[in-house]
Amino acid sequence: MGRGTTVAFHSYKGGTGKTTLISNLAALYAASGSRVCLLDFDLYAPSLMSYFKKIPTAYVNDLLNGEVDISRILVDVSAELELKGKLLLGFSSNKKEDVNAIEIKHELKWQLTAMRRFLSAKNQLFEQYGIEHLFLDTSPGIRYWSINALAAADNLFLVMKDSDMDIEGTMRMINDIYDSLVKFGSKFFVVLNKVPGASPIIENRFGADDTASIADFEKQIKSRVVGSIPCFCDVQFSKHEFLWAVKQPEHPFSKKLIEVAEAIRNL
Amino acid sequence: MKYEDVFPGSARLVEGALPPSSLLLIGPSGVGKTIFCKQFLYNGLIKGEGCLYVSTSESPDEIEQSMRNFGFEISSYKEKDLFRIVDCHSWKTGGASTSKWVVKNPGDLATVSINIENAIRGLNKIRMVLDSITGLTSTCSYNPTYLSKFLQIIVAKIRLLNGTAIFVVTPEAHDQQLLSYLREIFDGTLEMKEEDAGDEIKRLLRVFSIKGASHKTKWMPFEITNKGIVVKNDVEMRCVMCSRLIEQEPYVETVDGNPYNFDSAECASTYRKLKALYGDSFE
Repeated sequence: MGRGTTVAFHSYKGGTGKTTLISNLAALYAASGSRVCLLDFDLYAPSLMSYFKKIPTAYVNDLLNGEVDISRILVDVSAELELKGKLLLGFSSNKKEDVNAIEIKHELKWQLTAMRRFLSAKNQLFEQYGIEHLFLDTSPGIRYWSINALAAADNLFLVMKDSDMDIEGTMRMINDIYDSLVKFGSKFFVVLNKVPGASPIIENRFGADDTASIADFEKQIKSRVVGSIPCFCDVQFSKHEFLWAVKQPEHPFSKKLIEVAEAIRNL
Repeated sequence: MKYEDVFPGSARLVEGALPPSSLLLIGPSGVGKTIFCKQFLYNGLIKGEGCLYVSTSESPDEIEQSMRNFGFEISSYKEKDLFRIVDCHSWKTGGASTSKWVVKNPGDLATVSINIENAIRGLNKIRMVLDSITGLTSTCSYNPTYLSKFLQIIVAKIRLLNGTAIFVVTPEAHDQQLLSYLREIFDGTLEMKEEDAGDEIKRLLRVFSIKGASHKTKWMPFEITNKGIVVKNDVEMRCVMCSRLIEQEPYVETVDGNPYNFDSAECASTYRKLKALYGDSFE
């Protein structure tokens, strides 16, 4: 069996639905029998812990600080979610002091040391845990741990919202960051999320199934859109959407995610 | 250009491609000669080469099982008739063998030679192992000249097929005169030894000589792992990206004019990405 692949989900701005998408996709892969690990690298505004409602004994932060081994941070949710495969989660700490500590650790020496610890952990995930798909949920924008996580990934997925899409800022980020990553081997794709069309929103640049507009957009960003997920009011305003793709597979949102998961698998 | 291992560690020990050769492998009992040879044959099998194993100490079933223990699965190659065994062992247990080529009296070197000739027929780009000269000579007393003649005939047959062969010998079982003869017969000599390193044994390998190839002559440490023999670096080398100890050939990539040792192409790629994004301050 070959080494697994690492995918990172990133966005220019927050609120694109990155964590919801990556969690559902990771769970879908695990539900189909794959060995999956999802790590929260949104160290500046962690949300995976509240999404899964888990309190781990150690965090990604502790791993990067060299205080614990990867085995200490992993939480196995496969059995409770009745997944055919394996889903291991690693959470970032949402404690104020931990988020602040990451914010002030800007010197490159620490970044490199922490990156080495992460890469060593990544080797362990593939070689000892037999992980086939490693998902990294990154911080939005251009920050140390969004760049580091993107650099460690094989495939990069930029999640964008249509309604508040900052094309100019996103294009700048693509030029500044993604182009360098692609030059050295990464593959970069776009996932459009919360696309108006499924719900009665009139002011839209393009609807979820507007393939002509998507083709134009792909030309503009010089990348491929691998998924266009409509904005569903019941998902958007749900008190706690939780792995609908696995738990409510008949919902149109879930069906769309299943399509995206398949598209990503076939890349 | 990166070369693949012909025998364990050859890509690191030999500069350039290893020419087709007949090699003498000298080492004490238990140092790892047999697994070294099995790995050499398996490296050939996975490249589609025909392999012949002349064994004096294991039955065909034992050979298959012991290879499987190191992850060298040979059953499919046996089915394709790429892996063949000249069985010089089963005479000890009455002669029943799963091999087509069974030597009932290894004391008769002519019979051994005929079996080898028959067994290599139809194989292309052959690899052969004779494991071992010591095992053959233990069955009766040979005149060194007669033994030398037998080995020279086998070497000549392998050379005609453009093949590579390893002949194993345990030096403590022979006198110096025979060992000197043996060094003359073959194209090169590989040596293995053991050293006491505190509470463990350190195993070492070196290329003493190989005709037509430039090679290192340093003793290199090696370990017998569950994936076979791993020849290690003589000095500790770590990946500049992930810091992992590089146990095999490093992945060397030049970044901004400086060569760096990486554990893998993936680490080299990550390093380049970070260097491109963080600039010169990233070291």
